[in-house]
Amino acid sequence: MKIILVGMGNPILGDDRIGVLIMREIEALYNASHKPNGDVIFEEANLGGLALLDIIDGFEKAILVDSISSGSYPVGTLLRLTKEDFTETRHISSMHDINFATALEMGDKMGHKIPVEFDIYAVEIKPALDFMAPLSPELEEIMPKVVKEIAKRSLGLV
Amino acid sequence: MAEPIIFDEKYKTDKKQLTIAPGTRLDGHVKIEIFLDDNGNVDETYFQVVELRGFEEFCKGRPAEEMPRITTALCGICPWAHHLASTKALDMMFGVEPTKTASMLREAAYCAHQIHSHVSHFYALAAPDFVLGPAAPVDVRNVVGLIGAVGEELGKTVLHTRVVAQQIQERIGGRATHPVHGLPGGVSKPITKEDREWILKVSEPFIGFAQLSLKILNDMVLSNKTYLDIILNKDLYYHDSYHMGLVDENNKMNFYDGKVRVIDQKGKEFAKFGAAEYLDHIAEQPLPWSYLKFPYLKQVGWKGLVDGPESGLSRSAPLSRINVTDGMPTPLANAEWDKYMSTLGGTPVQFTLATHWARLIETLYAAERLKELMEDDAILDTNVRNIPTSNNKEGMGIVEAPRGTLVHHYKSDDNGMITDVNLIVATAFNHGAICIDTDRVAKGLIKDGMVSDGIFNMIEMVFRCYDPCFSCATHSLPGQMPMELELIHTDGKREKVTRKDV
Repeated sequence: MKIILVGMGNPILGDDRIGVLIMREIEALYNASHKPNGDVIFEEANLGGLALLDIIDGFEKAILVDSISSGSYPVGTLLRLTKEDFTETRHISSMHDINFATALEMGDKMGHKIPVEFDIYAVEIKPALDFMAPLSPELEEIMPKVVKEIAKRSLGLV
Repeated sequence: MAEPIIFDEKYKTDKKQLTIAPGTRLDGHVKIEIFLDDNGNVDETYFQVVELRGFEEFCKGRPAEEMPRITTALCGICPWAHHLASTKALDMMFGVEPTKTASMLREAAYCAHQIHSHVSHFYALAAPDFVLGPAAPVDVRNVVGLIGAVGEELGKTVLHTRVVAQQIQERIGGRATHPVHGLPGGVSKPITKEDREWILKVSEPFIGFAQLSLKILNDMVLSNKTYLDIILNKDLYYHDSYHMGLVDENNKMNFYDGKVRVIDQKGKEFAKFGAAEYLDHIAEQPLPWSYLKFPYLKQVGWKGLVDGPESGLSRSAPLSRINVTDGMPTPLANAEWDKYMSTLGGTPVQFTLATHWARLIETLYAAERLKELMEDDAILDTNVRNIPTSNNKEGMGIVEAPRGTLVHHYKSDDNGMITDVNLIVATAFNHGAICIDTDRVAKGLIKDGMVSDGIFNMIEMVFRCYDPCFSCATHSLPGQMPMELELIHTDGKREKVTRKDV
């Protein structure tokens, strides 16, 4: 199975980068126990919509790790979402691109090879507005646990 | 094909403040607040933006040559614009001109970037409002609904064009989203004959696709009398502004290089300046209710959010670039420019919705220009860098981002370490214009407290014209954009009505 793990976020914007940092840690874990054979690819992205569709096109499974600022959970909470969480809110989601659900639907209609399996994770953060800001202590604390959890659940790494 | 749904049934609101807040993960990136008077008519409208902080501080103390790579992280939407404005600022800082081939390669990659951005914007964001209609149900008023209406082949072409345009940027610049291409005095690598042949081959359909897009606009928008009446209604998407954009030595459009030309409300050249002189012409005004400053023309002065000759505001977007150029530099785009100008009454066109038309003419120009550059044998020269030998300790670079003029200004110490950074992004230049247009459209559409979802969308259509860029918003989970209406009574009491899935 061809798998892609995408760490999403701006790598220099405070807690926004948590998805990217988690991805890098899991990549290091994976590489420590596997020889690279192209079956699992690790990518960074700070784009959604059609741009994300371009990245996951052709893979059978996509693992997306991002941040979320819902205000509904304590900072550092790891949420697991499904594609349905996206389709419920299908509409234009940003000034620049369509939302992910619409991108998937479009890709599917246009004959793209959309992953049949999605693991979508989001870590609750406070709104990230400062470029220089270090990672919040709450996120520093949960990082090892979250990395282990996602690596185990989605890639079977123990 | 079904007719577009342009109007919907209005309902009466007794609320005094309407807030349209396209919220994202970064809490209320954009908020439109509409204050109604006692009769339910619009008193005042505010368009507010949340600004991210600390980028300048983040850059200080870093080697100047890292800036073209750092600034691409600022925004995943227009990374090439930041990359090239930054690279040009370094050219000036280190007192070195890029070689001819280096300039050509920078411009070629940038043409591909413009095509990628403009095509995405038109089909994903702009066209659904017209093809499906501004009052069409939200679950069909998107790109999937558009393809359902126009045909799947078009959808495939849209996706393919985006992918190929990205691949061209990557082939020339090392990476598509975070290019590693620009260096002071040149670029990091030349291209090979194989690269050129591949780029010419994959980009061959671009010109035809741009022409097809213009035909779609013509058939579905310009040929629709109701739309034309809306576009040309001076009480809606219209205001008398200055315009600015880069032009070459012949006063023709150029995305990558040249001087900034400013024209007034009569189309007369008001100013023309290079990057090094931008501070003689541009200043920025903060306002207490906005995080984002308002750039204005120094020679006019800050007069507030008003239009007309007394206003210091200048627009900067495809509408403006098409206005400041004396025709397009490529033949097919120039023919479209002639048609555009004759239809809309000549420069300066002040009808904001015409920005979508202007954007497609620019797409055609970018496709033609990319071909021109690639067919020139000089593009294969391996002399792609002049090595800098001095440090002027200050540099400015200006390019035309897809959404308008972009300024980078750096200062450094003797060792080339950054000591000061100032960026004026296109959305900042257009900030005042978006506010004015939003206010005018709200006043034109909301009468006696009668509102509708279609009206709210027509107000949002203002900012979609400008394709504003607020970095970091695009990958937010769960990908929703709840729209929030907030009504404030004259006694200050607030009522919120959350609109989702709009």
